[in-house]
Amino acid sequence: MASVTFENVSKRFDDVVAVDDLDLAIADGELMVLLGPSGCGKTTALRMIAGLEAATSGKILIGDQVVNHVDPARRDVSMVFQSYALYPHMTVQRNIESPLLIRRYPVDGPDRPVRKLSKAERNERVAEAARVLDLEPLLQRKPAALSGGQRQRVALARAFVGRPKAFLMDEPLSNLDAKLRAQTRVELVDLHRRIETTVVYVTHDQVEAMTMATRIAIMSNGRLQQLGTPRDVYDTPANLFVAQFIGTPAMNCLPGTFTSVGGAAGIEVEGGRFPVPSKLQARLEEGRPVTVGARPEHLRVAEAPSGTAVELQVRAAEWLGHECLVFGSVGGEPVVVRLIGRVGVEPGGSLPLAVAPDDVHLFDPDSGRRLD
Amino acid sequence: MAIDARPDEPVGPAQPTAPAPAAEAESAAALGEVTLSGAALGVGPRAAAVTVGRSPLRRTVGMIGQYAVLVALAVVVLAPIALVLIQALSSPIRYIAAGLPLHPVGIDWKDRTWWSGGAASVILRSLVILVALVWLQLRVAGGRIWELSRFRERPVLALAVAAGWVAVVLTTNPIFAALADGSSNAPALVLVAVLVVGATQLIGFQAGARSWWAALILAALAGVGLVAVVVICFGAAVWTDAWTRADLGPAMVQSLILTILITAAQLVTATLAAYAFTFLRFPLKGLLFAFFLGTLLLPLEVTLLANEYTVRQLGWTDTYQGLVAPFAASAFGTFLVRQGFRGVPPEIRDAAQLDGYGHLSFLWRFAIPLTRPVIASFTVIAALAAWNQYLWPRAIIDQASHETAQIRLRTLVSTEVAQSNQAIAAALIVAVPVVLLLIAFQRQIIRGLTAGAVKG
Amino acid sequence: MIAAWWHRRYSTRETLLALLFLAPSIAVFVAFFYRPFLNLVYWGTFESRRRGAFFESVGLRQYREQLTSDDFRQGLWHSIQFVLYTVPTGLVLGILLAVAAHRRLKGIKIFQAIFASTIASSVAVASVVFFFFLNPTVGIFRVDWLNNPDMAMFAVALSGIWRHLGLSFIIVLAGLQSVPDEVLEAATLDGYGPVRRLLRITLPLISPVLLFLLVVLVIFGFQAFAEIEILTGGGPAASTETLVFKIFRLNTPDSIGIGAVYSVGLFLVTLVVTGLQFAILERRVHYGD
Repeated sequence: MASVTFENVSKRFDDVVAVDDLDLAIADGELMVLLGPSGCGKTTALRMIAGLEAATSGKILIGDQVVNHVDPARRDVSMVFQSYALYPHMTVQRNIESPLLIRRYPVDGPDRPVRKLSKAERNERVAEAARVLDLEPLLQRKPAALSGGQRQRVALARAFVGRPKAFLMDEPLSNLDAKLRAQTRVELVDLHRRIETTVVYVTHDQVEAMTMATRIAIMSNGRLQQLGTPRDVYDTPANLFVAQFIGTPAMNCLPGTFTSVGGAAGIEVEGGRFPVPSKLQARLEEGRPVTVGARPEHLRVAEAPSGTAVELQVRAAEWLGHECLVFGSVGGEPVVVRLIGRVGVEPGGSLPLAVAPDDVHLFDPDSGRRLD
Repeated sequence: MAIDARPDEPVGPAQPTAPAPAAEAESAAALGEVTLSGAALGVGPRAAAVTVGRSPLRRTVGMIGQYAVLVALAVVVLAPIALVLIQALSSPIRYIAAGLPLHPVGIDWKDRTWWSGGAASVILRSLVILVALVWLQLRVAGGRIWELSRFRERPVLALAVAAGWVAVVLTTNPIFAALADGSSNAPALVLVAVLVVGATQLIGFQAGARSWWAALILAALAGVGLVAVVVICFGAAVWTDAWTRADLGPAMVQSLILTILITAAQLVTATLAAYAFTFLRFPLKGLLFAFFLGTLLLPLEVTLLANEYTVRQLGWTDTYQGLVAPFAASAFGTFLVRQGFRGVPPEIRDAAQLDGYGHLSFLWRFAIPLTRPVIASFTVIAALAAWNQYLWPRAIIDQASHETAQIRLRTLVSTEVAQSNQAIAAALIVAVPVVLLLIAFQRQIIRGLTAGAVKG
Repeated sequence: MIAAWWHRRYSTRETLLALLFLAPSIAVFVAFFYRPFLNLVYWGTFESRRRGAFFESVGLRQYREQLTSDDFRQGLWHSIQFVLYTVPTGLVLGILLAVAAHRRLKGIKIFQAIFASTIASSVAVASVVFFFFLNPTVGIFRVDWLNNPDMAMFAVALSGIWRHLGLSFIIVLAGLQSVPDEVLEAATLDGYGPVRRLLRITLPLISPVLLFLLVVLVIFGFQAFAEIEILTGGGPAASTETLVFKIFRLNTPDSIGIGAVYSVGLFLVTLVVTGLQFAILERRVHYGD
């Protein structure tokens, strides 16, 4: 078990910068999710930990050892690939045993040299992995005869069996159907809790990130956008990108101006005025342009006309049983509101909305940075 | 816990990478596609998977090692042709006497200018150079080959081609005379030619090249290559000597006619049969399919005697129908085209049916256009095979005047030693059309060949 | 009754159209593949006397006699020799070339083009090239192999191996490219070095391709004719006369019956060998999902 650290790591493919000056410290034992859209560099970063890509600059450390020039097989990490990458011509048993055949492990203790495992030790570890992942009846089958979920478990077992310092997972759930995905999510979290090993998990699915991560590192265009716990990135997104990436439906963002004219300070938008979190009021000057954000779930129907922040021009309403999604616009900008229960709205009508000041997020319109 | 980080256990000198599988979906009938120079023989976006784990020094050494192996293998593959080419350029008597077989002692050069040799020859020559220059500029500029619109996009490429052509003609002219006279100016003239031609090509390369180094090296290579080809192909006397002595003209024409006829016949029969197997319903389909398959077990080598007897009885020796008939149909081609047809989405068939298209028009307007790549592959492979045929023409051609190029080569081998270099030259000339086909259509050839071997 | 069954399943119009489309191919196959073969089988039962003026039916006796004759066995042996020389080497070299060229280096495409280039050589061209390559008087390699009964077949095989390098390379390379990246990366992480990766992972995974190539090369090997004719003319001392060569020469009125027997023999041999290859090796070939 060890920490994994990126120190000013960059990766360039010819003209394309895949990873741009990444500084990231993954703590020992945590489940760190690298989250972002395709092409953001998260998979490249993961592969650099494994040694499947070389960093163009910067240092990568596993524990306190710089591993930039260390063979992938000697870094004591294991990886679960997106396609599972099982050896098609070997049985499940041989697949799981594979990392133990050639690599050397510190079996005798931290102060003794690493060595290869004996047949008995290998069998024991394979049996353990098969037991933990419920693969015992499948050991003699070949991958072609397994279902998607079973193959994934074999990939996990193979990763598990070497008792690595860190598990690397590249979108392991993306090839599973929705139901299996939800189930496996829970199992993975449980597994992590039990084995207490560092996990670096790459995904583009923010639901996976929010439900599984100890901390999330959100990336875009090769740069780290924000590092924090799921609560952090949800409650205090560091910039517009993070704000709109986390949360479904995405946060509503509108252009506005700060004004304190007429008593109460607020963000003037076309179609109304948003309240401002109290601690920010003093920091903004009159007329400052901002982008104001409010999550669909934080917008409520205003009880009294005086409490109305903005007026929503309703375009459509989707009732999903437990909640209602109302689509419309505020001053020309598209806005979505999530309301509990059934709400009587007519397309073409209008809905007065209110929001608590502390649920309002302000961003600088040019840089996208959060204002606080 | 100290993990041994020193790479003291060499995992092997050469570190192969694992490029991504070649994936270039071109049509609905994309078979397992492998392409050569035209579009990267499966070189994918992922970098070397293993070399990264080692220090930069070891990585460089490893890379040098890999190049060394590649060069060695290339030498082995090219050695017979290269050495035999050198042999062809000199009259054997001269270099036997000199005792140095590898040294092209006394190449017979033709005293000529660019414009000598008859109009047809001049036009052909100029055309060849033009096409070569166009190909070169397009290749280096990247993108899909034969995309002539690039010249409109980047006029500088057209300038490079035009300037290059002029440069080649002007600078190689004096070389021919100098070589024929054995004057000592020749090497200098060659150098000048290389530099000038290279410079004209640099105009085109530098527009798109990533670095000056790359453009310079490419220009140098282009200069050397072009001048060498021009001097050797158009200057050495052996080629025309071999052509006239072996009377290759009629033989090449024979081969050409035969190739066209056979390819056309196979195209028609295979496409029709493939259509029937794919889109039509009829009884005994399985049996008929096996019937087609069975012919693969009965190659010409087995049925030769009986076929020859049949053809002789019909009086078809030395005739086109005799040469073409046994090859007018092809089971391999039928299967290949069938594969392609099976890639046509059934919805298109349904839509066409609703629009009132009958089978023949569906075949012509939909099935064939949608499987153009596969059909192109088959056409090129069939042409290749037809051009290279030996056994059947050998069996039924009795008169020398009807010989195909391949058969003509056999008679050349038994000539006297003094003209042996002409025999080699003739063989190389006969191989040229196929080499051109290969360069122009590598992707198609490879796709057709690997269709049976690798799952798409 | 039958008409009803028919009309339910097939459209007569479509069937006739299919017949029309298949007819040219069928005609050619019957005329130049199946009928000739049957003819040959029949001819094999006839012995000819007095310069083909008189044919006597001897039934299967001729088959028995000729297929066990020294001449046939010699021809068969030479064909097998050719196959043994060309196929394993061709396979190994093809794998070697493909493995060497299956990597991401600058300029690798040029090497790939070079390795595949021999596919442009025809039998005649390759044979001429090697004739002068190995010629004792005017050759670059002045060896006398082609006139040496012990070395002649080897020399002929050289030209065959060289000629098929391009094809082997292309096919094996296509196979290598179908091996998923991630499986090899997983092997790297498991500690497999490059050699181990090749032997334990890559080759097993491309075994169907290798079997295909093997079968194709063997079939080509048994068809060796032009290279013999051009390089040695069957000599020296008939040491390079393969089956097809002998068949070609048996095409005289006197011996056409024997020629027919040899032809049928060639067919049987190829059939058996191909069948054996599939039977023995199929089990060891791994077919993926």
